[in-house]
Amino acid sequence: MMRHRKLIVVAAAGALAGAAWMLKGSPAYDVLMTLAAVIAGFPIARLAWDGLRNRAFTIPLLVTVAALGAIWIRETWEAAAVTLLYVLGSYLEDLTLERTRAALRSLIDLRPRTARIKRGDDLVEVAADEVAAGETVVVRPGDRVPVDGQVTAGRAALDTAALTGEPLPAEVGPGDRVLSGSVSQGGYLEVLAERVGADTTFSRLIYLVAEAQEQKPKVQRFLDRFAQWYTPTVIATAVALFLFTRDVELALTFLVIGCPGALVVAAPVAVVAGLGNAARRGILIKGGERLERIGKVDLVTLDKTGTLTQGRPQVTSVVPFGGHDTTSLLTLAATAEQRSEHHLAAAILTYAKELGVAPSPVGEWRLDPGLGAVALTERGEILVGNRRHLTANGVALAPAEEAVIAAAEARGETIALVALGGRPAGLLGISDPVRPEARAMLGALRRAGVRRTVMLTGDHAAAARQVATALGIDEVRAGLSPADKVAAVRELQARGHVVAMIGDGINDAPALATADVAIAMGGSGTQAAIEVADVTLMSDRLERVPEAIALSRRIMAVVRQNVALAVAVVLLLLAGVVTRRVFLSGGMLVHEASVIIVILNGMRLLRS
Amino acid sequence: MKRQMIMLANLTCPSCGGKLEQATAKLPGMKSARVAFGTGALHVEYDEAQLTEAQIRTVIKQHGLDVTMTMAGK
Repeated sequence: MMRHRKLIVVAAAGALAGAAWMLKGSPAYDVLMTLAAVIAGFPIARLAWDGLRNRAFTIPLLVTVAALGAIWIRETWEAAAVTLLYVLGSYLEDLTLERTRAALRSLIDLRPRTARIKRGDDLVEVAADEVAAGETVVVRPGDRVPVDGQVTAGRAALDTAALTGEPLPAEVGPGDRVLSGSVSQGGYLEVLAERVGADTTFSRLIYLVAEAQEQKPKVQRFLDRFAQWYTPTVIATAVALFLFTRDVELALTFLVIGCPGALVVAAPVAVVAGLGNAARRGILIKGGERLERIGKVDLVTLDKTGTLTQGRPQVTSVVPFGGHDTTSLLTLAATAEQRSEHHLAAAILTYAKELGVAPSPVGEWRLDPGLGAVALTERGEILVGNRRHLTANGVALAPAEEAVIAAAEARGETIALVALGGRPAGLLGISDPVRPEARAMLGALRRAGVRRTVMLTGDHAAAARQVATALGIDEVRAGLSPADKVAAVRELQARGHVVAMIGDGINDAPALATADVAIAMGGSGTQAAIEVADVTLMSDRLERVPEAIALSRRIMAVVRQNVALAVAVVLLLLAGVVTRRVFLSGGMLVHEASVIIVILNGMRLLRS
Repeated sequence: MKRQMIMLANLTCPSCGGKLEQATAKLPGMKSARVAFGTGALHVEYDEAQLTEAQIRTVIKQHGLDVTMTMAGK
């Protein structure tokens, strides 16, 4: 594996340098150290050459030139140390690159692979890409819808979470439009294919992520920008020194001292310590180069369902109608739903259990896809389902009852109506509660310097506004498709904001990839969101977001201090070299002291 | 014309991607070949009458790279 080549280089060169230490004083010392420097230095020299061809003066160039100079003047340990430290750092960076790409792969893994096409009375299974527009595909429970199209027959509950982020399945029937990537949770559908293959909504979602990842400007690390002027200055000065003094030894000493180990480790030590601290708090930051961006965030966009809310529907209101009380209503609902795997059934059964309400025995039972459940009991026929379900079974609602339903709907609740023996018994309102820490998090974001918060959600405007108002979010954009979310993030970026996006769903993945900083919910989030993210919150603790921003700033501050210190020491030493007050051995001692100071300074970040 | 997005494993150096891009672009029947380094993908558009996916995969293999998956391209 290419990826491990650098690790092998570090191990081999490290072993050689170690062996050299043991043979210190013998002639083998310089040979082994030189060998270590050559092995570790070769990949660096290639990077330096690549950079030069692009007219970039890079740290690898400085390391290469300094290592060559060090070998020339027999400071082989310095050559080995500087090259080894650099290769180790770049190996760690490669690991983060692989993780970015995993996002796209996990999405492609999720795409519908096969389709059942109806030909006459036969069902033929083909690759999803091979379905032609105009053909009819059959979708059975558990299938992913392979095309975008229109339902021609059947009914089913479709999990559209991949496209909308909403955990509650949509009930669809003839005439309804369905999108590829939705998963059938029950029922039977025949769908007339309209958009197929690369044109489907799910394929376009994948391309959106791919495009966003390609277009995301590569953040140039602080050290790279610094190298752009530091490297040529040091090299040019060394050359000038040689031209004026004709003293090769002096010029090379200058060059070697100009490329200190302290400069090469300044950033990695601070970053590794800081990321370790973050990880202990449940904040996973994928790479050091993202820290600078995270510290600059001034606008945060948030997904609603699963991010601000828990993403798990719960019973939030129980309204019995005439002749029933809360307990009897819950008993009826739990009785009818006890065998169901319907999404609302789980919420109802959990709630009943919490209140100690036990379901009664059921005789005959059936589920009408897209409508609700019907159960025959000793007390009569129980219905639990939507309004259409009651109407279909001849149950009429009184105006007062209609008003109660309308009020619950206005609260943004999904309604499960219960009827017994042909008469309405009451309703259960089900909704997705806001995470308890969400409000405090938004306050802390403001204190961390975030000036504006914007909700981007695939949910309806009413439900979105409800949550936004309760939490004090500045702006709401509702009913957004994955592509709309990307457009919203782009627009906010175009206004000059450094935009962070917090999300959890597959539908958030393209917007996450587009945002300057992507933050995913690690516990409940989908693989696609987690892999595209720069920051992942383990156990979904939202209050960690402001902490991540503050910690990133601290890490960057320490990186700058370290680089400043390394350079200050170098400048003093170089002044000494030029005025012939500092010689190689003394200079190296100060060098090593500065490495230790830089490491200790970086380690401060391990403490909270 | 067939368009495909070919996902590559272990593409770690940008210049390796550039070489693969040039080599695949030279295949007879290839209309366009582009390596996206950030996502580790090779985007190709080619004439199926002259070129097969297997031939493209051979060239990828010759460059020391592996294909993890392919999907229809845009």
